[in-house]
Amino acid sequence: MSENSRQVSYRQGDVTLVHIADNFVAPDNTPQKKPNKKGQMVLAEGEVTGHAHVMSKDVAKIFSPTSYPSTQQLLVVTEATVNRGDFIEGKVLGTMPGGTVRFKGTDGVVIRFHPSDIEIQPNGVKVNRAYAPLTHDEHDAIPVSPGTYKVIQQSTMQTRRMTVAD
Amino acid sequence: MNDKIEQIKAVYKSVGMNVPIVMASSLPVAAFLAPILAYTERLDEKSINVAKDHARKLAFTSRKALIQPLINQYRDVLSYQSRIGATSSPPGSANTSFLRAWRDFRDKEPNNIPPFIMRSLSTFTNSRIHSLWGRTKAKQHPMIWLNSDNYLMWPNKRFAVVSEPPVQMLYNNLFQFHSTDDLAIKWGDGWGLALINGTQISSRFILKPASLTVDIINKTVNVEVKRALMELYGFERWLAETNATLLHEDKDQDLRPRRLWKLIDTNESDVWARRAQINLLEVFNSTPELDGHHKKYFLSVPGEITSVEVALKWMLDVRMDFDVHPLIET
Repeated sequence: MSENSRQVSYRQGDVTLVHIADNFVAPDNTPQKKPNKKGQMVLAEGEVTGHAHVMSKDVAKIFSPTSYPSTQQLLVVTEATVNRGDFIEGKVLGTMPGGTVRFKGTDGVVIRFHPSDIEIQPNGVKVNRAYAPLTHDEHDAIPVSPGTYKVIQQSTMQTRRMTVAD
Repeated sequence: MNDKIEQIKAVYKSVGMNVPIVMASSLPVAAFLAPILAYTERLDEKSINVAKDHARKLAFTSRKALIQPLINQYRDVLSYQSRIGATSSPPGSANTSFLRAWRDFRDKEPNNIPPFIMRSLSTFTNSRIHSLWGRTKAKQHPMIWLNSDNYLMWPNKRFAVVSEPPVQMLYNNLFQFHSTDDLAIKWGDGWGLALINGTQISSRFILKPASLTVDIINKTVNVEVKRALMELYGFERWLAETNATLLHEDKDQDLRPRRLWKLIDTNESDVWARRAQINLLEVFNSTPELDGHHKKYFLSVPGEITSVEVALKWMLDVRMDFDVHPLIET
């Protein structure tokens, strides 16, 4: 699994997902994170706000390979919750200057699509890329396709490296 | 207040129970009182008063971090209620209807102590309380509950703890707790929380504004708190007082500026001074707030970094050939 400069990546706040493989099987002894009591897989959690970057445990697994630094994990999205061709009812809130589209579904969740991800239609959008949403209380959700991702949490420095604390 | 107590007693009576209703003067007092009472064997007036005194001492001397999860939940519930102007419970919260709360604990084990309270108190250094929690058998079932009048309560099989509501709650136009002049949430016993646009900061920065300095802001680790302190202090004022110089500037995916600031003027020949230098990367949250503005954050990077792109790669701990521009950023 080698990094290169052309890998697809997504960023939600201080968490970056880098796609590294379509299919991945973790070695048996790789530590695996357990879901929280709400049935969510938590990628990172703010210590002051309590808000977390989460995905459903039904579609996501998180591993902590021993070779990875503490700021990195492995996310395996096993299946999509929204499939290609699905129609999602809701409202387009607007298009950002960079071209991404903010869409609010009838469930109230705002999700950010790349323009190639959707076809805008009356009363909603038709989905061109299967995905499962990565959600957070203070950021638009991100549609994450099934596959394996390196999860990188931003570091800052005061007098030493620390994981960004929010 | 008497009406509230009578209401609670009536619900207990409706399920055939008669338990002491214990009032707490503020949120943290209630947070400590509930587990103390759970361990107290006799719930006569004297024992309850001893428990209240103990809880009050803990609440006013303990670190706020011990009850931070409770504060977060309470704050989120109050904010939600304010935004929707309703008294219904927010989705996904631990709140239940009053009647259902009683049915729940009648059917389950007693001592429904919120699990985050147990976790918080398990780190408390007071050996007696630590021992108390070690012996308290509590079901891991959060029962924090907030009714429409902002009374916080824990219903329990043997007692009910009810926290007085705040006497003051100040908001901004986004219904986030906010005040730059006073504690945003304040109880009658003087305990309170200082919040800037929904982010909690130390109360002393509001009550004694002169205590907030540039040095404190620069050394704050938590980026949300740093952002709130910067808002309180004023970015232009901070800029003037730190003699920060702009090293590099570019734009993010949505054409918002990202700026790298050099903070400390060092003697370039002094390698140890250079090592202590920290630069600040100023970035915007890609997700707009409800009123359309974007929050600004200041992230610390090593002083030898001189460009925004290298700063981003350093924070992600990736190779220099890595493309830091994500397909989607929120």
